Amino acid sequence: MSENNVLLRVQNLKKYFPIVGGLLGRQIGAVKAVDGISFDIKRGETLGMVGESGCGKSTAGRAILQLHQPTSGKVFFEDKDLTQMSGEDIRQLRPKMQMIFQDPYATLNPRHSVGKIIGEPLVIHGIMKKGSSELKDRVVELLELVGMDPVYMRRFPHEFSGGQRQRIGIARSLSLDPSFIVCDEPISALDVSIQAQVVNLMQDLQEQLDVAYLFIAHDLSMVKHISHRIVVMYLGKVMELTERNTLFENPLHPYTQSLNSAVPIPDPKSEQKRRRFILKGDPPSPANPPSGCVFHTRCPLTEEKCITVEPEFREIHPGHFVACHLADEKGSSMIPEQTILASVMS
Amino acid sequence: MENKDITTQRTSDSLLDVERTFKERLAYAGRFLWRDRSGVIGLVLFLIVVIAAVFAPQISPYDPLEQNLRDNKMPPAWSDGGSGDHPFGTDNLGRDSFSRIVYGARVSLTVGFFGVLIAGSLGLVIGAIAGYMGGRVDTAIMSIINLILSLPYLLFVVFIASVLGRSLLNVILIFGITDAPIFARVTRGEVLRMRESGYVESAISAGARWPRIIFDHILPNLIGPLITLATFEMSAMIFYEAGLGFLGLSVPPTIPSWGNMLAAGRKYLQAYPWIAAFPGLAIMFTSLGMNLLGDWLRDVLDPRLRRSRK
Amino acid sequence: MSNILEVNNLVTKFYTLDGVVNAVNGVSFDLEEGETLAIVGESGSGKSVTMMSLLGLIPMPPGKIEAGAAFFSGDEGRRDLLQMSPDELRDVRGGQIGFVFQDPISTLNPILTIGEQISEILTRHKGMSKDAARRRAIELLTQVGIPDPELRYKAFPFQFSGGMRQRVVIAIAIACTPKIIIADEPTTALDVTVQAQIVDLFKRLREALGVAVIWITHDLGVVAGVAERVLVMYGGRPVEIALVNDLYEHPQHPYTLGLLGALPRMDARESERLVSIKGTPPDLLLPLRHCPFAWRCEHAFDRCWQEIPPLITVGEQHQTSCFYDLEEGGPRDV
Repeated sequence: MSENNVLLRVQNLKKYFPIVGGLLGRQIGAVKAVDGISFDIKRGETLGMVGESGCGKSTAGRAILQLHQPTSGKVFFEDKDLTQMSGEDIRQLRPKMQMIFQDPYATLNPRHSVGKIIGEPLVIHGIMKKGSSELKDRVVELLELVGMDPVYMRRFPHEFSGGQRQRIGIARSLSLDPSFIVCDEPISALDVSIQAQVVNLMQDLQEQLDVAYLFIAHDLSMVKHISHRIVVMYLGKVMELTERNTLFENPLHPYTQSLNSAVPIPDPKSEQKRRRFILKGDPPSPANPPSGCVFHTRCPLTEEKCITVEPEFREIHPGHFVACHLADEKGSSMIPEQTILASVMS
Repeated sequence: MENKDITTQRTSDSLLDVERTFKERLAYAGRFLWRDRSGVIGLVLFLIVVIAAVFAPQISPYDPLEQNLRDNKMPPAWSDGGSGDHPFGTDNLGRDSFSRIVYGARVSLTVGFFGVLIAGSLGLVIGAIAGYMGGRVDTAIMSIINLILSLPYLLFVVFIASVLGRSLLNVILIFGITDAPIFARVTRGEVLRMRESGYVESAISAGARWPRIIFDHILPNLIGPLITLATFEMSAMIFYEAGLGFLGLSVPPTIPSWGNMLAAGRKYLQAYPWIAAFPGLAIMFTSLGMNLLGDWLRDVLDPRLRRSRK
Repeated sequence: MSNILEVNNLVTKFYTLDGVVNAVNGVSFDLEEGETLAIVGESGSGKSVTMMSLLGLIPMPPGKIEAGAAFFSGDEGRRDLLQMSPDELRDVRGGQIGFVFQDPISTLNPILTIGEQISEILTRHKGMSKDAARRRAIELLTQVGIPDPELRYKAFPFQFSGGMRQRVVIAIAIACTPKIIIADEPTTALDVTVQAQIVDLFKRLREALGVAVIWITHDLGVVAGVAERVLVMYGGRPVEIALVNDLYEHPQHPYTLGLLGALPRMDARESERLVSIKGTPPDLLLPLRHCPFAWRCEHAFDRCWQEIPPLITVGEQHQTSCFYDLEEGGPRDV
């Protein structure tokens, strides 16, 4: 793809949260929620972002949209560096970059009607006037776009089920015709049958409106389903970035390999045949990340170098980036067939 | 697109769309009142006090100041020596206790209402500033508030009251100012919580400026908790006003108030207990009613709890 | 193999302000000794309420068990759990029937060390001495894969990670060598790599202890790897019961078919459009007069709106409550 197709470029983005302690409230440390991530997103593309809880994926989404002030690094949106812009300039850009939130219960103001919630962004940016028939028409159009009956515009959020609320949230984020939407775990609060509805809706909308998504989720199978390319995060850092099929067929990072093998497949026969690597232990705390490669404490292939030197995030194949010392063309970073990592009851 | 969904969503959504018959509605209302019976009792008690205060001249059989020394210290109507003319009996100066209690509701409610109005307005502004600005401003405001709240409240109020002197306005001002920290603290907590809430983040990501965030998203959601708090605080003010009256520090003795009546009855507590008992009961039932009402409002005013409260 | 648990026609309702919530509308199933049965359903399907009813954990009021029986073949012979006194039930619960809930934090007491919590179960149910209980507790911690068990014995729940806490809860559940473990969404709150550890632990324990497991979940992916038989629930009714391979290969109920289609497959190269089940889950306030899935079913015909379909046997150990034959493409002849 050509260079000018890039909509958003993230360069070495960091977001640290201070840990304050003591009587005086001095800073005694920092949670490195996002610790130097880089990638880009093309127009109309879905970039999936997966990782376990505490890996910093939600913080990353918010730091990109400047909802959290990044600690350092750059975010170029349409070639303009958001981190250097004033608050008002960013506000002017908000129509183009929107967000869909995880919890459709908390993100809709309980005292506002559905119509008001969906139309609010248009009123904020002075595109349409409050109470105008034009605004009403647009809300009707948006409700129909997300597959809901326009009669619901007078109702309040608490009258709806989770899936319907998420549709309302999507309608709101689409009201300003954005070119980029950060979707922060948009389906993880929903039932399975409703998840499929929302995912299908998001794919349809992408086709119609040519919007790019950063799709953040912990559910690897759903991320694989919806994304064109996928970023795998662990403890605030990107472990691997590549095309969706490559990530599942030729994962180079040992963490990606074990994630792949841990995701259950809804088919008993393949589930019985699969080889599985079960990682030991839990992810370490981002307040006190391991030295060298952050994954070395759980990695079955750890070598001397991994403990001391942080691996570079480098391009092994065209478009396939990995942060692992062992990764190379020969497959040195592959977890060998006979390795079973489960140490339970050993 | 999945527009087919619409029809099914509608038909299976009985709570939203199924028309209820009149009988069902009546049954629903009945269940509602029964579930909320304590709230309903609170509301009734509170309304009795309000009606008494508003229609005092029409309700009371006598002028509350009219003395009739011949009929002094009459017992209530149902005991020996009582008469239907003075249902709650008379005090040491022969004034009709029932009429004085009815008029006393005016003082109590005035102090409660305006006291809460002042305290609430001050507290809302201070608390909202502290909560929204955060940082040093918040630390400074909260230090002052905690300092005030750490003073022994009654002593503090008694001290100011004795310096300022007896008048209705002074009592209202004292309560209005000394109670503001409580409102400020609650407002600050709610604002802090809301500032982190999903819908405020959603408004920011939609590009909202701060006036919209405060007036459209934060303030409307503050109304519920603040009205609830106001009910409790009003009840407390009525209580403390009576206390000040009892100590002779509230409204001048010429004005019939429950506190003044208590003070007057104190001397006769042994021989003529009813003189102090009726204003005491009035205070108790008002306080009880408003506390029940406050508990109920807390649940009812939260739109998220409205349906799930079971 | 004999049945260790037989549930017949369980009906549980909740009497609320908005009306009667028909949470469980006639659920029957058997559990064999040493078997793992998965109960699958979405929120509101009644899967958790079913289990809470059996364990006597339904708050009453507003809840009420209106009908049914649940025969448990325990140490005291075959007895109906629903007829037991609260005290008897408390002895069975945590003793012969262990349970593991989704959120280990709410199961563990935050102010007691985990050692105390495990020992307490042992002294209460098994009458062990303090010293014996301590030794057994450390043994249990080892068995569920907690490193440094002697050190961890003295630790408090907050000092554990989510996965380790769930292991502690499992240790408590197996402490009295139960006949059944009821696990309600035991891996839902955990990260996927930790989830794999817990699933693995369950499989090993089942082999080591020969305990029967009822695994309640919404996740058909986990079920595929863990269960021998599956009961699918919808709207407080069982819609399909089958052996696990049979269910995934030949689903006989449109809802099961829809659920399977709604899941993306990690092993698929081209991402096909997901099959979505239209509409929303049923409103449990409506009394059940017909198939609860009829609203959302594309095959629904007259009969589906007139009767509640009973469980119909369609194969060996395979039952479905649907009047429509998916394989023949027409109404069933029943």
